[in-house]
Amino acid sequence: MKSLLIKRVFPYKKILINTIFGRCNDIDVFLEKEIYTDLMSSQPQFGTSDFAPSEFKRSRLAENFKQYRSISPHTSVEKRYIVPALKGAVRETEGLIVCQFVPNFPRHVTNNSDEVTMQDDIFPAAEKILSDIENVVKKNPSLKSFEIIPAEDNENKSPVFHQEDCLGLASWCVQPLYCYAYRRLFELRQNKHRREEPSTIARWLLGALLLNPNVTTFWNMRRELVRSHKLEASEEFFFSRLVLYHKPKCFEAFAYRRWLLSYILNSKDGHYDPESVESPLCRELDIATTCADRYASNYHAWSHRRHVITLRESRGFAYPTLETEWKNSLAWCQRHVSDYSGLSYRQFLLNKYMFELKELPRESFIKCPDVGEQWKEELFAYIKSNISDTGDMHQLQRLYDWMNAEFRAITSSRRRQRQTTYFRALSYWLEECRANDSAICTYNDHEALWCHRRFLAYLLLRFMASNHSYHEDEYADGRSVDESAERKNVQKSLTNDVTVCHDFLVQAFRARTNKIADLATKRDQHEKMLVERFFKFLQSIGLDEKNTYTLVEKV
Amino acid sequence: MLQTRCDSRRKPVMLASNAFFIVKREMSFVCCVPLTGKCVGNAGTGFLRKLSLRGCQSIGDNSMRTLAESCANIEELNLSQCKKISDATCAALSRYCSKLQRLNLDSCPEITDISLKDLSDGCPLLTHINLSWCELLTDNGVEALARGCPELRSFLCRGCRQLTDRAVKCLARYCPNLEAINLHECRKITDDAVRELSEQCPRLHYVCLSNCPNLTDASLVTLAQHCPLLSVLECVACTHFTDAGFQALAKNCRLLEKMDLEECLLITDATLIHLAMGCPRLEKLSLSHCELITDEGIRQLALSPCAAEHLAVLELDNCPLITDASLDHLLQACHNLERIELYDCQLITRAGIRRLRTHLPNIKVHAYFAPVTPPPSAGASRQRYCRCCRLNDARKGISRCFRIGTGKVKGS
Repeated sequence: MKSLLIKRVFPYKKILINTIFGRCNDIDVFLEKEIYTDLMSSQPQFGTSDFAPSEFKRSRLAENFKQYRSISPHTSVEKRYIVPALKGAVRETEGLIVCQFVPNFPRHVTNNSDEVTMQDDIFPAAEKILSDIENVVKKNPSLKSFEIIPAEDNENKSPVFHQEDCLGLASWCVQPLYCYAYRRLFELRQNKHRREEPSTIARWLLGALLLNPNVTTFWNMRRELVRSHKLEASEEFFFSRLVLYHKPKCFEAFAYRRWLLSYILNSKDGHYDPESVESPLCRELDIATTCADRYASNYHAWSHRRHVITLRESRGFAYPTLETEWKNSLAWCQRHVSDYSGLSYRQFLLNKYMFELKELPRESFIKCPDVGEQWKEELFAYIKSNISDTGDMHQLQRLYDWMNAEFRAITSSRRRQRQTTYFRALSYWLEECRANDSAICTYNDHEALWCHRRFLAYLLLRFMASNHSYHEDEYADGRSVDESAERKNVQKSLTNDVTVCHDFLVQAFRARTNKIADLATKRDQHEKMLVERFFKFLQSIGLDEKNTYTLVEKV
Repeated sequence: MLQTRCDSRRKPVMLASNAFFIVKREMSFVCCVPLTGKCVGNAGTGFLRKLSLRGCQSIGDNSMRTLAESCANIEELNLSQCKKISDATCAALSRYCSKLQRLNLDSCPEITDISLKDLSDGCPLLTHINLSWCELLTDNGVEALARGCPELRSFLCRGCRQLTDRAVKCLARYCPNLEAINLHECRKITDDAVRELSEQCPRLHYVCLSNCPNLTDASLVTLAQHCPLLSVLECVACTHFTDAGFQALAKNCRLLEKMDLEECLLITDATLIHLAMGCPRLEKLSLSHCELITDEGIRQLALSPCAAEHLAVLELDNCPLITDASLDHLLQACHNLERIELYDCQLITRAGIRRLRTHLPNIKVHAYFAPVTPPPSAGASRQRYCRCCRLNDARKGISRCFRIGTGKVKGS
């Protein structure tokens, strides 16, 4: 008597079974109950294959392995009946062939016949380990790190380590534990009719996601549990923080946090005080910083940060303030010189502060009355320190004095604000530019810094283009007719002043660039190439030497 | 007997139709969160005898009032984890459902003493009540209940931390038929209460005293003297219990079947010897965290009559002195052993477990050992195809097949 037991078939493998039935004419085929019902329910599919329905009748239903054994204790099957495609999934125990169809994930297979008969019990400690982990996570909400600890030999000792807010898992149990949780979860997902306690599901998810957080399905299952109030949203923040500590570049975890954020902000009972210092957004920024620290070029972390800042505006949160954000990100960039991910975030902030936030004053200076002047002085100081030509120097001094006088003479608060806004925007650019200058001078050969400088050059051009005509708007509205003739002269001179000021700025930038370029070319061969590329870029956007001079001459 | 199991994914509207329910005498809606008051109100009929609404968290007092009005004949009601219901529900039940016999209010945190007073007034036939984790309850409520419901046979109040000796003494005085009592986590209970209980309620067969740290051997002795029918005893973390108490218990309570002695830190092999001699029916024994237990104790247990016939579950996790020798004693005697827990017994080896498995093939051994993994493939080269299967050399071929991931092969 020859027989074949087929276990655990997934729908897309039906065609393989057809093939077996087609070829194995003299074998009794036994199917597990689930498969049997599954096959019977999809008869039409079989009609199209080479498998005859009459063959199918011979296949019997094996309730389980034990029953099967009692039917035919001594059976054997010759290998040639096994379709080549199945070989890998086939094994022999006590003279009978077991075919096992698996999804793409490699299933744990053993040689031990005792364990083969108990498929579900292959790793009984899994549940225990999972609940150990769950206990630690639940008991200690300030848990901040999760690590896999290398350990090959196990001595019947718990693989879960817990010490001072740190959770560790011995490496030997990672593979079987993950396989266990994965299999359980997908079994659950595939036959939805089977009921499982939500707490059990949550435990499996905890194990699976800690070890491999890149499975969106699992995160979605967690979302479902949160939405049906089986899991606390606030605890989910802790959990995903733990995951992000272990895998700081996990996009799914970030996405989950974003979803949680909008979930708690939209929920009816969660009222968040937008003025409160302890806003959930601050926590997000902390996490993003940690993740960016733990994994270089972690763009996921920075885009999470962008999302949070955008959310802050749309929801009207007072904290985190833009000023602290500006400072913190600068500090981060100074610690990670070569990491362009942080610089790209700075570019996002610069764009926002220079072009989008015309009305908002810089929060920390809001009480200081002459803040506009302070920015202006900084600006002129920068220009002055980078311009060598004495004639220009003279002209600059005149411009500066005149502008000061003009500034003091301004009575209209609106115009004053306009001017303040203008200098505020430039002050951000200036600060960034200075930071970039000093970073390039200090550190050899970092392409990220030169790329960032390109952005600064480009931004300067864009800013100049957008501010050419702002004084004109100023005068155009709400002025009486008789004054206008006189004003027009003033306006013309003012427009000229702005242009001259811009030219000086460009000139200063060029001079500064030349200076550090000289330094860089001398110290490093590779950096020389970077510098050349940078100049090529300047030329392409029209900010090279020649253009600048024409601008100045025009004046 | 018909029973409806409701699936939360189905629309509640379906459930609301009277026609659907009218013939049913028993219904159960487990964890139907979307199930709301309207449906439950409609569901009620005079025919309904048993109803389970476990975990239906959307159900509130109003719907329960409607239900109570329409189901005057209800005898068994399960409201565990219906977190919204409060005293108003119990008031309605006491007013309309005088035939109520079994009530489960497990994890309804808003229930207070007022509920118990109402129930004692209106439902004198109550025999089973579960008040676990209703943490607002105090002695006054329990006293009222005990006075009003003399038929009480089962009283479960896990986690009612405010209860003291007075509550237990009242129960003992007014409810002599008490058979099952659970005082898990009632941390104020002392020996006095247990003495009174065991003297007044000789029919007790289920007693749970877990996490009552004030109890001492005196409790065990009085239980032993007065409750010969005791079959289940749970005393997790009763750290003052010693061998002497269990000696007395084993001498008199010969019907003991399940004992949970987890974290009774003082007990030694002597307890096991007494249990082995005195309790021939022992089925399940938990000795987790009993750190003084050694192989000798297990040997005595294995020699006992209970071991050969009944012992099915043995929990030995975190017993650091246990070695493979224990397993060898067990595998010779305990033929019915189904499950053994060995987590964190660090002297246990793989070899010992393997021997146990070969003797008792159906046993579930729970230990931290990783499942046996196939050895890493010897050759450095990784073949993509399974060329090794030869018909005459099946075993070898198959063992190699394992190593090649199924994922790689299926595409070929």
